[in-house]
Amino acid sequence: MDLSAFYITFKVAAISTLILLILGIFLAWWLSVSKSVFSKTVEVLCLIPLLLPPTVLGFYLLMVFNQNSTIGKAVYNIFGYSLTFSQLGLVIASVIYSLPFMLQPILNGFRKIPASLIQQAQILGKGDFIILWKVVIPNSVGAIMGGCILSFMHTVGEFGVVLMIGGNIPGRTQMVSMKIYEEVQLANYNMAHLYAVVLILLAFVALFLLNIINRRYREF
Amino acid sequence: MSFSCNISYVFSSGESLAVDFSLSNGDILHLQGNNASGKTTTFNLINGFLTPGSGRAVLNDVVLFDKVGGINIPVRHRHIARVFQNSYLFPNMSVKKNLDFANKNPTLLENLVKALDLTPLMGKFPAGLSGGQLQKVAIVQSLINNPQLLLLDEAFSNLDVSTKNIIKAYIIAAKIPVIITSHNSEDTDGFVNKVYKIPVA
Repeated sequence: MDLSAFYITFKVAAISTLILLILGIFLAWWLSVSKSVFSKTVEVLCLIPLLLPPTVLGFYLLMVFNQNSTIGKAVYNIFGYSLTFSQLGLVIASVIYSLPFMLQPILNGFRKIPASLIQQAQILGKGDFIILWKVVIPNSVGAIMGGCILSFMHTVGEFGVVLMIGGNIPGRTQMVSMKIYEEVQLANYNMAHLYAVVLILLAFVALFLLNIINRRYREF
Repeated sequence: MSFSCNISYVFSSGESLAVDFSLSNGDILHLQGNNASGKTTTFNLINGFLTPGSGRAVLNDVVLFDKVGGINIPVRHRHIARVFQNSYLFPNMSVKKNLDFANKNPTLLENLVKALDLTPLMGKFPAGLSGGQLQKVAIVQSLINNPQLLLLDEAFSNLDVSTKNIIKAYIIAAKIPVIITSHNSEDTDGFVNKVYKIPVA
């Protein structure tokens, strides 16, 4: 069994979940308080990966990230990193396509907080950041944990986008989902089963955790 | 301390609300009106949660709102406390943390905790409190935030008589302008010194 595929998968999923957690909280806070048309447009744009075929997203990310593109060339010249066929590219792609899985639960959690609670904090003279930190986040722990589990698992299980951006290079960008595909292509069904069972167990544990979180944390 | 308010507001239904009153140091005004006459809307306008269509509101020489001058101070900078009929404490915080979150007057907090016997409640969370206990803690939370104006929106509805009397005594001692709405004369008799009835539009 090739453990490097698991290592790369969990590393990419953990880093992108961490980035998404910070991004998701601030984005959800802004979207939950803003009433502008611009914010509604941003919300729709953030949710697009939910409905797009991963290959479409992967194709356009490849167009934007490759070393002949303006962005890909600039990143390579400045930082010396390639955004394609690298773990950095996998993380950035994961953040983009898993964004709705983090954003949507957090946004729902923030929107369920009664306006009167936010108003009471404002009456007490608290600023936006204190309200977010002391009132909104602590009262949305279940939603935030749910978002983390969903986006982590979505990254672990993604195939199309990571194949196009990462290129399925063993030991470098090959994630478990691609490893299963490779083993099936080679007719190594026993190995494919082994990798698949680990992902099934992981999905079971994740759903079990989500169930506990939904029971443990009260909703408004 | 003084508060003057001469503002108007037009609802989306087309109905209008206009209020005009002033309070000086220690005045307690009973804001009267029938159901749906605009009492809560008046509080929302004073707090800054709604923007008046016209007029001016001034608290201790600070202009909170002036349509002509284009002034509209944000809610958090108005120093106006408000206690609702259904009190909203922060459910993630114990009573102690709820009070610490607002505390700008530790001496007053200490006195109120003793007077209202809040010590046994300090470790509890809002979900474990009765309606009266919630209201009591919410009033204390508002008072220790050193408000310059206090709005009481049916805030005594769940309190027993002795608790009401203790709280009223502290409110009177604070010598700040107070506006109260209540349909219960027990809450206002001997407590208010001014009455303003919202005019029917």
